[in-house]
Amino acid sequence: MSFETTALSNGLPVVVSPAPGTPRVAVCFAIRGGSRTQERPGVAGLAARLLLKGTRTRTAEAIADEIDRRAIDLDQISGAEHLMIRLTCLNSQLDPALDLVADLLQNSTFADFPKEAARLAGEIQSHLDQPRERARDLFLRTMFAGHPYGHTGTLVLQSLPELDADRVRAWYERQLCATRMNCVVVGDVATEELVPRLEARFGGIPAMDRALPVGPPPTPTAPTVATEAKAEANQAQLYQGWYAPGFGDADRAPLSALNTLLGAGGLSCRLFVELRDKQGLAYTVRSGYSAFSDAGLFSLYIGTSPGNIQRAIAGFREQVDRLYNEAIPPGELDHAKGHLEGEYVLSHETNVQRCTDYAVHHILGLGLDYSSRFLEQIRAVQVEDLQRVARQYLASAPVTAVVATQEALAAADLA
Amino acid sequence: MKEGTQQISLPYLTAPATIARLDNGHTVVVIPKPGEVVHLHTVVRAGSILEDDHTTGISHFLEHLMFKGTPAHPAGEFDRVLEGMGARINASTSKDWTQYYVTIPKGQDGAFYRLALELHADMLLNPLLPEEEIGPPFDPSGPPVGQKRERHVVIEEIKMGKDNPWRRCLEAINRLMYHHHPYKREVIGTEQVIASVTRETLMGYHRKWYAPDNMATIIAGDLDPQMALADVARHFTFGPNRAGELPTFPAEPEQTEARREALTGDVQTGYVLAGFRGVPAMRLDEVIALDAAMVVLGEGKSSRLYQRLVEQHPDTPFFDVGAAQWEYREEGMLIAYGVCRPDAVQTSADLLLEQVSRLVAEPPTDAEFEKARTRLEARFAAEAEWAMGLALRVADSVVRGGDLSAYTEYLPTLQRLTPAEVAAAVRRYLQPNRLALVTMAPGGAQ
Repeated sequence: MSFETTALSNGLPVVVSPAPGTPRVAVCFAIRGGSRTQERPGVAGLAARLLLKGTRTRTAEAIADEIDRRAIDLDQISGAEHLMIRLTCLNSQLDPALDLVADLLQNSTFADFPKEAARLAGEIQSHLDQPRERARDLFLRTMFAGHPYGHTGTLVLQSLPELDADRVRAWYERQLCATRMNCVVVGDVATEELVPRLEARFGGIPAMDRALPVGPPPTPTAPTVATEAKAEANQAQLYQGWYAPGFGDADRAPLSALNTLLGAGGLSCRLFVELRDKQGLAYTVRSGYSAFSDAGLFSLYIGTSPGNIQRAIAGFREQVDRLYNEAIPPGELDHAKGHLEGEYVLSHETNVQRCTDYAVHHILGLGLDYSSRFLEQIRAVQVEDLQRVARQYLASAPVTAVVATQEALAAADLA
Repeated sequence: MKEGTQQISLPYLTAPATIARLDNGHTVVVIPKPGEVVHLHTVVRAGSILEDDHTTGISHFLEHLMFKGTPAHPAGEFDRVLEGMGARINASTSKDWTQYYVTIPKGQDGAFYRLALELHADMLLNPLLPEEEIGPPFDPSGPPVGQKRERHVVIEEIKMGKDNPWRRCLEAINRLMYHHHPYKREVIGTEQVIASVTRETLMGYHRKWYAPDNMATIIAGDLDPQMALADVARHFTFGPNRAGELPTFPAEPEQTEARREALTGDVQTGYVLAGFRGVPAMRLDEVIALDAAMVVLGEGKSSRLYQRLVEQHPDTPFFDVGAAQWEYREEGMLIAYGVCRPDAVQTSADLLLEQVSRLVAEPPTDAEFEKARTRLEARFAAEAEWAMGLALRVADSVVRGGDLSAYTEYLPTLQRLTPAEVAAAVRRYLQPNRLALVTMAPGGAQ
């Protein structure tokens, strides 16, 4: 990979990674400080949505028409640590696409707030109609109670009546700062031709940093079991999780390797082989490791028949205990490392994948080449590191969240 | 070794693809995709269309069991070896086909690719389907079973679908549309069949349909095409069996009046789906006309459904809307859908149907038509960016007609398409008497 880095006159960092001969160009604008800095649940998400709902000169309909007429893929992402506008378009459409995004970022009115808030409420309700999402919502707001990392859809629904356009606009305007954002371009473009075009459109973004302060890290919730009864459910949805380090921590690499080995490495990882293949408990069973700026989450998930809840919990416990009670064969660690090496290649295949990777890691202060440097850290992980992090982070009782019928919860002694 | 090798240009790729029909009937396509990623893909023309009431779900069950080992490589080895190289492995089953795929870094001098191809071919040709992996038959309505194996995994997948409101609505649409044709059965099948089907039945199905003349293997990556063709021919050592022509299936009579089903479920929102039986996948001109029609109706935030029912309706009950065409070999499906307030399901259904009718009465304008054409063209650029995207489009074309014409003819046909042809296709397929309407509202168990 090659990058060319420069900055606009207002200090906005620009990164260009040429991809000659590719038909579509990808552009990301990432702004530091996502839902992590919102005072109430829903502010960051609504700000991101309202960026597409009207500017001083474009109506929501005109924006939608332009996106569709030019076949631009445009999405807005509201992350815990950043806000991002991402576009992919045919090379011939790059200038009008940049015109559009410049207008969205700098001239959005947020006037469509009432309709957008109602739509968001409906979408959250519909999302929560999926049992797994309902359990994930319960799990995250239990795990990160009182912290923005736990601002799930359920809490956004409660918060919506207290929000208005002014509050959302004020939050966004404090985020928008040339030196707290970036512009990353991956495609068949030449930096020297592109930069003046970016300067003309984005050089006026203010450089004054007025961002809201980042609050303290989450306080760990004591191990607990949260349950929610569902009137009808053919499966029980079960999450378990532990606090883990954030993305700047040296233990991120061994925990990532551990996660791959345990339940994120595809059909050959331990949870899949032991709980699905050998015990037939689930169609979906997996582990996950999410790292934020000052905390992380190591989690397990299974969707299983209502009568299997206790068996699944015991299966999770057995597999987690094995991580620190039994020696991990070196071959299994090599397998996890190989998987992550290959996954790096597969997840950098398209311009938009690469653009997203660079923009996110750059805005988080991890560096454009973070993914490849992280692989170096993975290569250095030893078996002893895996056992140490398993003991350090996963030995305590987990936070558990279960969504199932009342009968199933009662039968599992969880009601 | 091979006859009829052709070089065919694909949109947005600089070098041509190579397609060959080997002497045994096996179709092989090599797509020259620059980059480090290689995608291996085999599609078998065997899906739920080939099943009956006693075998419903076995195409998909077999797909699961194909991963359970061969004489050369015991269960788990395929996954372990390839995932250790970073591969993404998966498979899927539809009404018309079953597909198996491996996406993997090419590896030094193509080493990962070569091993992946060898294991992929072995898995498809020599499955053991071990009894201990299938698990003993059982009564799904009987007492809990202690020893659970792959039958239970698939039954968990069935249960997962029953808890998904979209899945329930789509199953209901399918039930309304088809009473005779085998498309009436769900790909996932029933718990009863999955709990009891024998290994012999599954083995027989594999012997019959996993034959070279019923399969196509597609490789997308930065590889020498002749070498890749030779690699496929070497590793896919088929026996003498051939599938021959697919059977003909009982025709589904033309629907003469609208059909409706109102579901209830443990949901907080309402769901409305309006479905219409579509067109055979080989009728490319009509398929493309209906693609354009569905873009105009419901794809993107500037579509009619979104603008008229979500953005501009003064008291809209909708949170989201959309429309799509799903293509199947014998007959596709057209769907318009909406998610709405739970207390306004009937109103929402009326509003959705009104827009569908207006697409007949007010065919797409020139501006709408041009927008749809641009969006459909751009899909090809997006697919050309990733190896699997290319392979999926090729597999789809080969399943439809045995060659790449459904792929290569798409853009030229789209260029010739006129608004009048879109209007004609809409008039023909979106008639009120052809409607299958499904709603779901909050309520007790059914």
